[in-house]
Amino acid sequence: MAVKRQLSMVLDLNKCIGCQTCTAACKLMWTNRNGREFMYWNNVETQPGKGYPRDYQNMGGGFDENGGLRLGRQPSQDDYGIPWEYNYEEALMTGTDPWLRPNVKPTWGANWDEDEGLGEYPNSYYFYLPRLCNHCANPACLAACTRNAIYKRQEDGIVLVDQERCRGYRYCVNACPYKKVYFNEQISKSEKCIFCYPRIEKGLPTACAQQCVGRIRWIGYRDDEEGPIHLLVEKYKVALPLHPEWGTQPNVFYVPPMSPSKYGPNGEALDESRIPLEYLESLFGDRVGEVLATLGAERQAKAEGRDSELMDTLIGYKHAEMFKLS
Amino acid sequence: DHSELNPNAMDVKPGDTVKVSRIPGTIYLRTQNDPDDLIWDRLPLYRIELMPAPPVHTSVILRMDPTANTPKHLYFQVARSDERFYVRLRWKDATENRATAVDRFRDGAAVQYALKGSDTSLMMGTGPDNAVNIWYWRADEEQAENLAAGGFGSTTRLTEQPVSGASAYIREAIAQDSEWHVVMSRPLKVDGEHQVDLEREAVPVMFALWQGDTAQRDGDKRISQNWIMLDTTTAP
Amino acid sequence: WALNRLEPIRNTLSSEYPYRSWEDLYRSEWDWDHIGHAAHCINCMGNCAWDVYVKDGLVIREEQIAKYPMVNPNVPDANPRGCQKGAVHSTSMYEADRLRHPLKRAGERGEGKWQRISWDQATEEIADKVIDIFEKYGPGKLKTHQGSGNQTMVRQSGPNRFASLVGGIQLDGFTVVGDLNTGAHLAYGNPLESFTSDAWFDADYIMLGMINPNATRIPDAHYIWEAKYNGARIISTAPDYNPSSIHTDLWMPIEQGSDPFLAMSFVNVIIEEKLYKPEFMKEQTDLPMLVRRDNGKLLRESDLVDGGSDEVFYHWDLNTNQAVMAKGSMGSEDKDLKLGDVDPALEGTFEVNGIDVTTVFEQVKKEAAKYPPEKTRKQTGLNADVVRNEARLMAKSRKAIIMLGYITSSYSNCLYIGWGYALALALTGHGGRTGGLDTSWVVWNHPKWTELATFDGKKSARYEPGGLGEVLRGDMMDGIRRHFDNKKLKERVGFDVDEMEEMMQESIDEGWMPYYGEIKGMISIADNTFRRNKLAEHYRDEHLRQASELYVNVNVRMDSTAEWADYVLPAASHYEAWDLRTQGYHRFCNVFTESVPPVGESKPDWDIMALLTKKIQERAIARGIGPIQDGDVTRDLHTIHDDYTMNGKLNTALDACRYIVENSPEFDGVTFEEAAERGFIVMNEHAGTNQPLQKDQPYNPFTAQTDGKKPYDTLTGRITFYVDHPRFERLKSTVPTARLYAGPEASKFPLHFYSPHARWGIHSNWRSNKYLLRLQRGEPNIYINPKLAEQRGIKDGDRVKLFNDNGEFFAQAKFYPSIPVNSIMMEHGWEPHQYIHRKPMNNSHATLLQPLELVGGWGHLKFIYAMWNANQVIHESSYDIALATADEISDPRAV
Ligand SMILES: Nc1nc2c(c(=O)[nH]1)N[C@@H](/C(S)=C(/S)[C@@H](O)COP(=O)(O)OP(=O)(O)OC[C@H]1O[C@@H](n3cnc4c(=O)[nH]c(N)nc43)[C@H](O)[C@@H]1O)C=N2
Ligand SMILES: Nc1nc2c(c(=O)[nH]1)N[C@@H](/C(S)=C(/S)[C@H](O)COP(=O)(O)OP(=O)(O)OC[C@H]1O[C@@H](n3cnc4c(=O)[nH]c(N)nc43)[C@H](O)[C@@H]1O)C=N2
Ligand code: HEM
Ligand code: SF4
Ligand code: SF4
Ligand code: SF4
Ligand code: SF4
Ligand code: F3S
Ligand SMILES: [Ca+2]
Ligand SMILES: [Ca+2]
Ligand SMILES: [Mo]
Repeated sequence: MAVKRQLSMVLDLNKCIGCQTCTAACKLMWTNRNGREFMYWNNVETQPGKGYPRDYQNMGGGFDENGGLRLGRQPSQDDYGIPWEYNYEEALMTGTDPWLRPNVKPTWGANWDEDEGLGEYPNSYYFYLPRLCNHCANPACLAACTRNAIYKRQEDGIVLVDQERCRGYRYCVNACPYKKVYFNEQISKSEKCIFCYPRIEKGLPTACAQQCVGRIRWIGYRDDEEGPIHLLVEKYKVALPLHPEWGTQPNVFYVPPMSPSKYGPNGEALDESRIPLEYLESLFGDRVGEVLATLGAERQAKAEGRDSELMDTLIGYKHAEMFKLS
Repeated sequence: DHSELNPNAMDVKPGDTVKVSRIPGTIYLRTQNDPDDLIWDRLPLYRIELMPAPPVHTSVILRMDPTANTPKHLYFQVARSDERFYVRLRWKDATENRATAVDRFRDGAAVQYALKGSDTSLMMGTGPDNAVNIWYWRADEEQAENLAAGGFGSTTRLTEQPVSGASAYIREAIAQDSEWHVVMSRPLKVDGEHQVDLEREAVPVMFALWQGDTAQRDGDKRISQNWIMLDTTTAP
Repeated sequence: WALNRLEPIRNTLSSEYPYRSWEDLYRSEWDWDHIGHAAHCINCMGNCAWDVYVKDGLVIREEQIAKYPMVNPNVPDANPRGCQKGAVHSTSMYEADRLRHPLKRAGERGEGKWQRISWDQATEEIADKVIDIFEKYGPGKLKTHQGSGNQTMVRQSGPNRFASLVGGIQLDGFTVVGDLNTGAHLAYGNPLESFTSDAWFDADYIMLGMINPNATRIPDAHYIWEAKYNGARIISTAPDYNPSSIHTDLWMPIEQGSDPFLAMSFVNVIIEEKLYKPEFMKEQTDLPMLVRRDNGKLLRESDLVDGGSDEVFYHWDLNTNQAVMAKGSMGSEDKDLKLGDVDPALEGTFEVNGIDVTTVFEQVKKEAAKYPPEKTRKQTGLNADVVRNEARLMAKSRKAIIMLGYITSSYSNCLYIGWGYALALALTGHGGRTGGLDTSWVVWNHPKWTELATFDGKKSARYEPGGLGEVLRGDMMDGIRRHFDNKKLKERVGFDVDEMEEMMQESIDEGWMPYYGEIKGMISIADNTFRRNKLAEHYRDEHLRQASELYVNVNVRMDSTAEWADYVLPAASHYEAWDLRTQGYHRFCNVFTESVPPVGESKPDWDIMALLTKKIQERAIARGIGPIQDGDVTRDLHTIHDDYTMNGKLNTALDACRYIVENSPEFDGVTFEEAAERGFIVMNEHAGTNQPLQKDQPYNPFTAQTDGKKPYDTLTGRITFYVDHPRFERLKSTVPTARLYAGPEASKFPLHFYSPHARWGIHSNWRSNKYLLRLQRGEPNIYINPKLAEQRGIKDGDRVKLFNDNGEFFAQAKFYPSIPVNSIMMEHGWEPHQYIHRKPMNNSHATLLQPLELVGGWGHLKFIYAMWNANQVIHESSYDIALATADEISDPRAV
């Protein structure tokens, strides 16, 4: 590992309810002002879907098999979605506008394809994928900046854009395959998720994790063998990085989603999950099947009254204990 | 590019020396950096060839246009009055790229001066002790930035910002004929570190252009090929 | 730093970065002066404790307190309760539609022209009009309905206390919106006795019967998915693969409105396959009660003994082979369910004093036999094997919970759904600790709140059944008649519109249900009635016509109801007034401190009503108005302020808040200061209404009955599956049975339509918050299956027109492959003023009332506020759809 210690987050997609409390938490904490309005350092997207920014999974970036930076494309403002304003005053207080509406015709937004997914009734499928910066061990954003304005903090591995050094070149924006660096037009610099370091430094979890009412997020250091990250990523190996093939070595991991059974032509329940395994593998790599089997087996253990350290961890009895910040 | 070759301009080759013209004290400039002041018609016009800067970073290599190896011409004029030093730049640009937005890049032009001699690295200096001073005009602001660098990757905005600038985009019926006119100027005497001493006899200078339309920024640009020496020794 | 920055840096990945002083930038953005506490007072069932961060006198953000103590080490804790709407309230409270000053209409009603006036002027003019109405028309002509926007103790008490003092009309808070699980009341005698959400965790079987908790129970949903990891099977039934279905083990794609058929199929399988638990049935249910075979009535003491009670019933004791009186009924002295030596027969026919009798269970079996899954497939669309398998799994589970959200009561067959599932659960012994029906509400015991709100019961508001009051006063019958085909309606729901109207009248004439008739004035508090009601525009016109003398709206923002008022009084929002809230699925009372002073000139609801009573009292004295007789009570307008404030003791929200905290045994003697400091209070055993709320145990409903053998609050004292009320007989519903909902088959329009609750709003609250709208489509939208869209030439993002014979509305089309091809879904709660041309969906929705919900005079079936009366049902109408033309949706000013 390049840094002395590395903070990490695990998100359990089986518990994510798509409520976007995390999104709201991050927004009010950091991005509801100062030219950051269109940014969602934390976003939650429905998958399969185009996500945020629109179609980011096909924008390139990251590294090739040889570790070389790959060209990435710059999302347009439309790909992010324009932060509409509303005519509250005219429509509601002065009686001058006929109805309340956005000042631009909405064509895309950070959650535009919410609940859409794929498949045909009654075998449609979808799930929620919350995303933040992965604070990668091999950050493409960092590698791409021609003036080295992006660095990894040695004490916790948080990846930051130096707001004094950045001159707004946006190679980082292009290079991050997750599109988790955003260009701030107001200041002509790029900004990104800071893993809430001001909170971390005070021993508090990030806003998105602390405020997650689905209780789907664990935070800890990767090298802490007593911590939740080690247990989920290393010991039971149920948490996987998103798009490992992009080469940035994320430090955010996901427990992939199980799904209810699929129906046959006669409405009979098939012994088959409705989210195709290949699809999940295209996101989380080829270990998905193994992980789903582990989850199934451990759940069965619980159902039969046996112990399961894994299930107890995923249940997360004490919210405060989902975070181990020392 | 035939349309770029103005027969009235003097070709300057890398390593050449050019004279800094003198703006007589009696001449009244309408505004300080008027890019189309009459005075510029009366002063010598130089032409220099710009080529893509050598890419020093993967981010630039990935974006290099391998076919863009024909020279691009930049016209420049340099002059001083009693108090100020002026550079005027003109180049053809079919697109007026003024915005810096999420997916839009601005046009830009810069003049780089070696603080010391012409043995300073062209590539924006050789460390803090052998730095360059750069005047950077960007189409999104009517203000030229005063920068210094000790090598690529270290471009730094200076605390003092005495350089001012102004521009005009002259739009023509045929887009390729449209032209940027930019003037940057600075008082001869200024405070602060890393500011080029323009009262030296010879000042090493280089030029750079950014085409916003093709998302050029930072090291992704065209530059002149070597230091040109400015001869400031015109009789007062 | 400028100088050393001229040194190019090389490795920023694995060596210490030299220039980190800039990091203070973000550190300094995380800053505040002080922290207050609050939950949100609206009707979300959430009730979550938040820290409110204040900087320079402004609220800048909020974050859950997340410090609720663990109740039991084997059950996950309740942190961090909250939702995304709560998380952005600090932006809404300052938005431009926030009401900041008292306003008086400066044009026609609804024109949107306002004049800012002083509190003094506003309250004086309103006070005089209130007195005028009393003088001209007598008491009872003022509707003072407080809506669902005030769910907290202090906010809710103020306006309710006012209503109690003036005798204002207040509709049932549950049925007025359509949230009363009447089947649950029918069965258990209490629809508001349910599980705390932590009691879901140890269930091993959870059916999300008609609920979408991932969107509508956001702070509680985690317990379901944690239960899943704890080994539980989770299934969902819904027409669409909804956001909660996605995490289940099985989603059953049920036909809309056919749920009673599924419930009855469960019952059928349980009975046919003998999966039932006789012990539970005998003790806890009326299934062994004797029914006369001659007239189908329950066998009553009055049948056998002269002057005998008609609320005492019989078992056939297998030990002694004779009929014995069952203990625990309403007419029984013996308030106990213990069977003692009696072994009641569940099956068989017997003779008692020459009367042929059988058991309720026999009647139930007869009805249930009609619903094998193979037959109900026609209605439910579900594969019979899938249904059978589920019934078996449910039956053999240790603790089964069937969750019925409030959407249940949005259907005309609500009663059948709750009743049928209650039967399936009771047959299989699921009650108390072993599960039962989750009715989406736990009501706690708060004597002081009740005292304040009801003026200690000494004077009363005019309580009215919600659905009935709205339909009649809103003159909805024409619209209802227009939409439904009478004959087909009767086939599907069991009655037609004429019969419905006749039975409504009968219920009023028989005195089963109160209705107070036309009004002259209206003070509307925290109620978005003109958005919510069906046939909305006509409903609104009718109210405005009747309330010709006065229409006052007390609100926090300019909602679609405030827009039509004569006077708008600005109320303090969540972070600006002292308050308490316990309503929700947990044992915590959240404390609202006044984090910042009320925005603008707004005031807490309590204080507004105090000001209003002050003026009424002053003006009544000045105008020489003495006591006004109103039935048994007097309406003392000349002392109304003294009465309201307890003679000056409770002038402000803070006073009322302190009064409740300091006098409520359920708060365990916590001091007001401690409570305010911590932001919540953990309630003690006194909070339980049916049984004590045990300190270290999640709350399971009806353990007083299953463990303690206390009778249920039902006629027979038992879970009820037999009703011999004449109307139940008339509608062939003496035992649980099945009816469909109206839907397209009962109208001329081909598409099913339902409008469930949005993840993105609590009804209309926060629907227009721009931060939330940016995470939606920015404007009202409908959900459509892409196949239907293709047939109709509609693309994702297009504006479409939805129409039927009561009206039309426009919205953006959003593709949703998870909905049946012949259905349209649209989340409810959009404000009329957010729709193109301000034409809301509710204009074209016709409601129905379920006549069974209007019966009275039968034990626990009588008008009881929040327990028994008729819902205004919601999802019965149908539509057609077309692409909207440019003309239809253009701005009228553009022409
Ligand atoms: N975020 C948020 N939270 C809130 C509210 C809100 O507005 N927003 N509102 C409150 C209140 S007061 C209510 S009444 C809600 O609880 C209603 O939620 P619920 O999940 O029961 O019904 P809903 O109307 O949403 O419908 C739930 C799902 O039912 C499915 N459905 C609809 N029709 C049927 C049917 O005929 N049969 C069956 N089995 N299912 C059907 C559908 O999937 C819908 O999403 C409480 N919390
Ligand atoms: N088509 C369709 N129709 C349906 C439903 C459906 O699923 N589909 N569902 C129902 C159900 S279940 C419910 S609970 C209703 O929507 C609730 O409507 P309501 O108008 O009471 O609440 P809402 O939350 O909108 O309005 C409450 C108002 O209170 C205001 N408010 C909020 N806080 C305060 C306060 O502190 N003080 C005062 N004085 N007012 C306050 C608020 O502005 C809102 O308009 C009903 N109809
Ligand atoms: C071989 C020659 C050159 C190379 C390899 C080179 C490379 C770079 C690189 C890598 C950067 C980005 C890192 C940083 O901000 O420091 C940069 C920025 C910059 N360079 Fe150069 N450069 C060269 C010549 C020049 C010349 C001749 C000029 C001016 C006449 C110039 C002016 C600038 C300016 C103004 C910036 C900042 C641009 C902005 O903020 O958008 N460079 N250059
Ligand atoms: S996710 Fe993107 S922005 Fe974050 S560290 Fe990795 S490459 Fe950089
Ligand atoms: S860690 Fe902090 S900055 Fe990053 S997404 Fe979460 S809340 Fe936002
Ligand atoms: S708050 Fe948690 S549960 Fe809700 S969307 Fe975000 S990650 Fe998912
Ligand atoms: S709105 Fe309701 S559910 Fe959401 S945070 Fe507030 S109290 Fe909780
Ligand atoms: S590439 Fe570098 S200069 Fe800023 S915008 Fe990205 S950090
Ligand atoms: Ca250009
Ligand atoms: Ca309802
Ligand atoms: Mo509701």
